Amino acid sequence: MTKEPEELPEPASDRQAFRQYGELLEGTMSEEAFADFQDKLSTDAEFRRGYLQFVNLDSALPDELERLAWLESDDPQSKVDRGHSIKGPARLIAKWSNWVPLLAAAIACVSLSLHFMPAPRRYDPSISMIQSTEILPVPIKFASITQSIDADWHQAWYGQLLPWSNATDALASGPLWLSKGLLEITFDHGATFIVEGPTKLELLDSQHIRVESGQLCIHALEDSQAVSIRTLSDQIVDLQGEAGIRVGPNSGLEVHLFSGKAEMRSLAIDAGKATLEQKLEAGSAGRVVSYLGQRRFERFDAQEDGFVFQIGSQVIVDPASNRTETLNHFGSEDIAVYSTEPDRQMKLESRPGSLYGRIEPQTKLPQIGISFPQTIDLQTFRFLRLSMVRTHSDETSFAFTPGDKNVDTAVAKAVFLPTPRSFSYQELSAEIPFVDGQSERGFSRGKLTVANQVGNLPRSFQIDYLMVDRYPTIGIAEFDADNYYGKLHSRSIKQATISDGIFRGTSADDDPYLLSYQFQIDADKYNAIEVRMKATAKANFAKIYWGKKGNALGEDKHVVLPKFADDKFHTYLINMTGATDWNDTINYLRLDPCRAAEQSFEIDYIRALSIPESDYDEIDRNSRHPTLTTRKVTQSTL
Amino acid sequence: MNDKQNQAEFIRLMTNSDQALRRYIRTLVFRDQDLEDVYQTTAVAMWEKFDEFDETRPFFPWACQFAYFEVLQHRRRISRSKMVFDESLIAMLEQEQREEEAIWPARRSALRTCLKELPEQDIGLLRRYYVKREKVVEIAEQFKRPVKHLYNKLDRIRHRLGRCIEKRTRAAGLS
Repeated sequence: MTKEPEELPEPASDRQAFRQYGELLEGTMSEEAFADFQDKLSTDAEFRRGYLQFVNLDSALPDELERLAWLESDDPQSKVDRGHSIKGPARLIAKWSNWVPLLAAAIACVSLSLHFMPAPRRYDPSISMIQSTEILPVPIKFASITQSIDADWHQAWYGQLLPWSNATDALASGPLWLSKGLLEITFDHGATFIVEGPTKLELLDSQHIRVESGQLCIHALEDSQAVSIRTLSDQIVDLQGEAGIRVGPNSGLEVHLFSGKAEMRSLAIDAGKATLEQKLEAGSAGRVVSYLGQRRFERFDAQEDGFVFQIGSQVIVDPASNRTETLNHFGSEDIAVYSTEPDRQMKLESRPGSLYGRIEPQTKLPQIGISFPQTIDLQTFRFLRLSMVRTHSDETSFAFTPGDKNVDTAVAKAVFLPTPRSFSYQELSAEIPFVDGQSERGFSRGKLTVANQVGNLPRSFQIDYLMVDRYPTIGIAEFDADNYYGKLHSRSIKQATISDGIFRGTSADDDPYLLSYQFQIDADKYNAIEVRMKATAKANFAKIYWGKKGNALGEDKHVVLPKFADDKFHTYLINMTGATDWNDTINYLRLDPCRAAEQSFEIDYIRALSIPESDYDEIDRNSRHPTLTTRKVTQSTL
Repeated sequence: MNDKQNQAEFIRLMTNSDQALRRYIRTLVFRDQDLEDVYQTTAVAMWEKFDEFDETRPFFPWACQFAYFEVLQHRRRISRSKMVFDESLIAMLEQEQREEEAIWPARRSALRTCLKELPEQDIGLLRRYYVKREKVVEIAEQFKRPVKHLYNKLDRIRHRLGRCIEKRTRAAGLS
C-alpha cells in the first residue's frame, strides 16, 4: 500500500459512533453492544440522526463508486492503478432491474387473485404530481425539454414523479421514461437529442446518458460538449456529431454515425476479457453481437431510415444558395453613382446608410438610374423589395435593364402599389413580371421611378435598400440604414450600433433580446425565418420566439439555434412549417442572440420567407452543415 | 387498463422509488438479508393493493406504509433474535428517515463531490469493499495488514465522507 493519506482532525466520540454504525451493518456487533447501541439510539437524537445518515451513505456508496468509475472510464488514464477493474455499469443497471425478477415472481404469485381485482385507474401525469406541501430539495438542472410531440413522459426525482409543468422547464439527473411520442432534449451546452417513445433512459449528467431501451438521435455539434451513451454492456463515448442510437430490450447498443466522430466500446462482461473498442467514422454504423459465446463487433453502413432527426422547427445552418441579392444599399457617399432624370428637377443627398431625394413640383416620371454590383438572373430572383420613406401615396416602380442595352430599354417592370404616406421606412414588395427574352440575359442595371407624377408640392423620399429575392420575402430587420431601429425594441443590449448593414451589441445580462413588433406576417404563406448572425464562443446558443397579438411569446413557441465557436457569421434558415402556433398572423418575433452576459454579437438580418416545401431538400443537401438536416418535421405540442 | 399495463405502471412507479424504499427499510432492519426479505414482501403487498393507490398522491409515502408494516411483521417473525430494534425505536427511526430522505438528493450530490476529493487509495479500498464485495479479512490478507487496521481505515474514510457531506449540505442550508 502506498503512503497513508493525511487524515483530517476529527472528534473521537464521533468516530466511535461511526465504528458502532459500521459494526451494526457489518454484523460484527455483539449482543451486549447492540443493547447499549439501541439504548443510545432511543435516547440520543443526534446519535440517531448520525445512524440514519450512515445507513444512507453506506447504501449509496456501491452505486456512487461504480458511477464514479464509470464516468472516469472515458478517460483511459483513469483506468490505471485505481485499485479496481472497469467492468461496466453492472450495478447501475442493476439498480433499475434487480428487483424486477423478484417482482415478476411476486406478481406471478398473486396473479390468480388479479383476475378478480378491479383495474386501477391509469396514471395521468397531469394530476399525479408531488403535492405542494411535500418538502423536496432543488435538483441541479442541466438540460431542458425544448420540443415535444404527443409525448407521454415522466422523470423521477427523489423517488417521485416531477410535476408535469415543472418538468418541462428543465431536467436534472434521473431516469426518464417516454412511453410514447417524441421529445427533444437540449443540454445547456448546446447538444440536443430526440427521444422516440417508448424509451427508457437516465440522464446521468450533462454529458452522459444511460439508455435501457429505445431509440434516440443525438446532435452534438461543433463546440457543444461531446456526449457519451451507455447501455448495460456497451457505450459510445465522445460522440461529437450526429448519430442515431438504438437499444433493444434484449440487445446491445447499435450506433449509426451520420457525421462527426465517436468511439464505440463494448464493456467486457467477464473479468479479464478485453474490452472491444472501435472508432466509428461518419457514415458507418456498429453494434456488438454475441456469436458462439464470443462478443464481436459488427460494422455496417449507417442508415438514416427509421430515425427522427428533428422535431418542431427545422434549422438549416449556412443553407446553400443565396436567396437574396442586394441591388443597392444606397449607402454610397458619392451620389454621382446615381443618374437622375429629369436631371434638374431631382436632388439627391447621401445620408448615413441611405439616399435622400427631393423632387420639384410638376416633375413627370422622376427616375433614378441604379447599377447593380453583380448581374442578376431574373429567372432565379423573381421578387423585389424596396425600403423607403415615401411621403406620397403614388405608385413607385422599378424596371430592369438588360446588360448591354441603354437604360431606356428597361424591361421587367415591377410595380410597388401605392401605400399610405409614411414618415418612416416601409418595405415595399413586388413580383417581377416575366418578359420574353429576359431569361437569356443578365440584368445589371435598372431605373427606379419614384412617382408617376409630382403635383404642385415638392416631394421628398429616402431610400434604404433595394433587394431581389428568390422567394417572397419580408425584411423583418435588415439593419441597412445606420442606427435605424425601425420597429425593433431591444432589451439588455449595451453598446448597440447599426452601421455597415450590421447590428452590433453586447449583452448586459443573460437575457438580451431584440423584439420586432407591429408587423404582420401571414404565417400560412411565410413558412421560414432566416437569420444571419454571429456571437462569441461563450455566448451560448441563440433562440427565436414568435407570437401573436393576444397570444404572447412563450417557451412553447421558440426554436434554439445551434451555436458555433468560430466567431464567424452563420446563416440559419428555420422551416417554421412544423412550429407550434405558426399560423394565421404572426405579430411578434424575438431574437435572443445569446444567453450569457457580456457577450458581443452581430446580426446581419432577420427575414421571413415563403419557401416551397419541395425546395428544402435541395437547400439542405447543399448546406455547409448538412448534419442539421431533418428527415421528419412535425408539429410540436409542448 | 389491462393487467399488462397495470404491471408496467406498477413497475415504473416501483423503479422510481426503489432506492429510497431500500434505504428506508435498511434503516429499520439494518441486515442485508432482512432488507431483502422485507423488500420482497413489501413489493408483493403493494402489488396486491395497487388498485387502492391514489394516483393523485406521491407513491413513495404510500410505499413506506407497506414497508413499515412489513418491517413490524418481520420483526415479529424473528422476535427471538436479540438483534432487532424495539418497535418504539422503529417508529422513531421510520419517521426521521422520511425526513432524511427529503434532503437525500442534496446529500448524494455532496457525496459525489466528496468522493472526488478522496485520495486514490481510499477510493480503491472503498471499491474493493463496496463494489467488488471483498471481505475486510480478504483485503487485509492481500495487503498483509491487520484486520483491525483495515476496519479503522474504512471507518476513517466513511467518517471523513460523512463530515464532508455534512459540511457541504450545511453550507447549502440543507442540514
